[in-house]
Amino acid sequence: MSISVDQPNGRTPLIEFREVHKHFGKLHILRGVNEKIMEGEVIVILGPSGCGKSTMLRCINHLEKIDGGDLIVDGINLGDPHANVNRIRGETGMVFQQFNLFPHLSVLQNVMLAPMKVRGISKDAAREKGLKLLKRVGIEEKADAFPIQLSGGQQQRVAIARSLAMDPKIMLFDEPTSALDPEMIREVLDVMRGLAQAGMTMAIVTHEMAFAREVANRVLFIDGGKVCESGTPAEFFDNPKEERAKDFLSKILKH
Amino acid sequence: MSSTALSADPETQLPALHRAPVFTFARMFNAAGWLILGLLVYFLIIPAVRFGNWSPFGALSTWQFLWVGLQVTLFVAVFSVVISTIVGFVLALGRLSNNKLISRLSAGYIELMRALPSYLIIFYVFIVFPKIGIKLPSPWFAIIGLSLYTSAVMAEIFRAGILSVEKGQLEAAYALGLKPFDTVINIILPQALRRMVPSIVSQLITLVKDTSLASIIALQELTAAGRQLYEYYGQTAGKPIVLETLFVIASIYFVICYILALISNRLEIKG
Amino acid sequence: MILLAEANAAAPAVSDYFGSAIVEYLPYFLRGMLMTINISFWAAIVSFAIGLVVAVLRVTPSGGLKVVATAFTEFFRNTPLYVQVLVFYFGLPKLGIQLKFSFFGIEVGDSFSAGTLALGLYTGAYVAEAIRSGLLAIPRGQGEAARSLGLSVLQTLRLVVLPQAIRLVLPPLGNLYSAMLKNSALLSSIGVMDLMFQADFVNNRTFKTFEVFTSVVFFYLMLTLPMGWFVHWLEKKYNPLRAKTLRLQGARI
Repeated sequence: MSISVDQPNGRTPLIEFREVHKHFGKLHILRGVNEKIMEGEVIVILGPSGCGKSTMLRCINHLEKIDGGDLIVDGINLGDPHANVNRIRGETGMVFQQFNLFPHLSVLQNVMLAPMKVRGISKDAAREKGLKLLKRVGIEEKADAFPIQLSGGQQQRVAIARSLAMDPKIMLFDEPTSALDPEMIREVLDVMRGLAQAGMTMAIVTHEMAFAREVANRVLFIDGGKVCESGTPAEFFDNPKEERAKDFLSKILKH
Repeated sequence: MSSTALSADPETQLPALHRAPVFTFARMFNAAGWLILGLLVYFLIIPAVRFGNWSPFGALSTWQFLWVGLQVTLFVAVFSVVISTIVGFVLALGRLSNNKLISRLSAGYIELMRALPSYLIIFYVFIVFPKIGIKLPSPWFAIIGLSLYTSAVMAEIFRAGILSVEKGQLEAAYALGLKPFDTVINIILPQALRRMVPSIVSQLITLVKDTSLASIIALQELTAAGRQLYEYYGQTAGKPIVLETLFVIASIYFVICYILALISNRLEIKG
Repeated sequence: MILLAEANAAAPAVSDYFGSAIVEYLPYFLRGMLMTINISFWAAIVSFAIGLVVAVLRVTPSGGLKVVATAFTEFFRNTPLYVQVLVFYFGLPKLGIQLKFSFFGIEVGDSFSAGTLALGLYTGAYVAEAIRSGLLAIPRGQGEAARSLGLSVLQTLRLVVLPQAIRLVLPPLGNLYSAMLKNSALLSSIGVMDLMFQADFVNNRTFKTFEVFTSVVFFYLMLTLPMGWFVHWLEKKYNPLRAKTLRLQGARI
């Protein structure tokens, strides 16, 4: 496999989609996606529901297998059946809409589990790291609580800390605030904003347009299983080129 | 409502028609129930206690004889449970495996064993195994026979438990890079185990009861001991103790199984 | 077991190729299968009647009947079927209860009636528990609505609550009857001439142990597998949502 390095700014792409296809039974969800995500970029992925935004993220993390094309994540081609998938999963943190915290483990144990089991670090080191991360997402006082005792916003912040514990090269957010009450959305977005400012590479599927405009380096608009438009938030929101993007924005911004 | 209703005791003021009838259907039904219970006690239990030949059960030697049988029953039950749990767990993982061959083989074994009478499986082990040259003490034949069957049932219990864990849990574990084995041990089993406890215990009860099947063929366990006891008394002492012995045997099984059931209920309520 | 003597005499008649004993004795196996079906059928009727009555008694507000019904289910479910079979076959005659009788000119042997009763009562205890859980799953409002329409207690039970409960418990009942058919195998030990009995008989005649018992496995599969499919079909029909969610949520590992 070869990795192109001929980027305008000279950096290596962390993730590269090349003609990626994905089917769910008869549904053709991704129809030849081509895209590069560079290190340090914050990408917001927009598009109508069912267009394949989440699928794109889930393919990066190999929660879905791609059916065609190449998907190169940190130098490993996921289109190759012999690829070391577990390594990729360790390098890419995923935050889910439904949090998916482990209900039988305490908050701290949720964060400590993967570093201990996957990276093999000691319990003490994992605890120290876990507490540090919980502090970073502002929830260290709940370290010994169980997920069920937390609010949705708190749970999602723990989920972010849990992913960060693997020192991922990229964080994937799959509609992280969609399952939250309005008053809790802010606390999660604040944590994400902090991550972006610290230089984390992020790919975010969200409906929070104001947040997208503020935080993103680049906005991808997906429709019909393809990337229709890609540009800075300013270009995209103020002056969309594609008809479908205009249509989408007019519907969204009315609310 | 008239002003009389305001007086201290309104019920005495109401016309007789409005009083609740003394002989309601529910009350008569309830009374009939207690009457039936009384009749059962009077005509069944009291004569059984008075006219039964309970004297052999006053002797220590009788209980020692039964205790030897009970030990075999418990030995077979405990070893069968341990073996079936381990094998059942492996079979469940096999059936859920992405490897088609392993999955089909496990499913085939599970479905075959679940479709056969456990008596037939035990019989098969006792009769066919020695013919093909496998020689073991008879408790081990019983353990093999019971485990062949019980492991298949355990596998299905484990599988249902694993499948009952939400898919998001699995995705979160995979997204963190946990390997399938670590995911099962650290994420799925702790959540599934609590849900599986009632089914596992009820299978355990079935297992304890099914040990008696081996006595039909060759195993010297509790039921066999009981049978020998009443056959011996029937030949020597005269007054038969068939029902008395069977009642005692049944009660021993009952105590074991009922305690297991109570433990299961306790765990279920906690969970 | 008197047949054993003549059995040995007949043994050399069996020519010696694999499966020959099975072909030669096929009528015995078929007769055994019919007996297995026959005794399972009667035990099913006994168990359903018992189970229905006991389930209703357990949810009624009558204290005495509740005690009787609870004692029945707990005792029969927590003791081995084989011990119960011994009670009915060897125990009851000691009380002077005769199990051999003739019913409209049909002779019913003592092993058959003892077997039917034991299997029926044992299974009935489980049927009672299944129906009871179904009754408890019906929302209280159903019964209250029926009573407020003027239906009597029994009408409410018969027309509103029981039909819903039975539908709910059909799949578990199917499983119970499938288990009952398998349990009937041990009745061969008291001389019910079912499939298991015939297998033992043919084995003693031919000494083709491996062939005989392996083919009996197939004969039992012919009875139990269709029952299993039927239960599966019931499950899909009456609980499609559960089956579907299980399939959807079921992540493979």
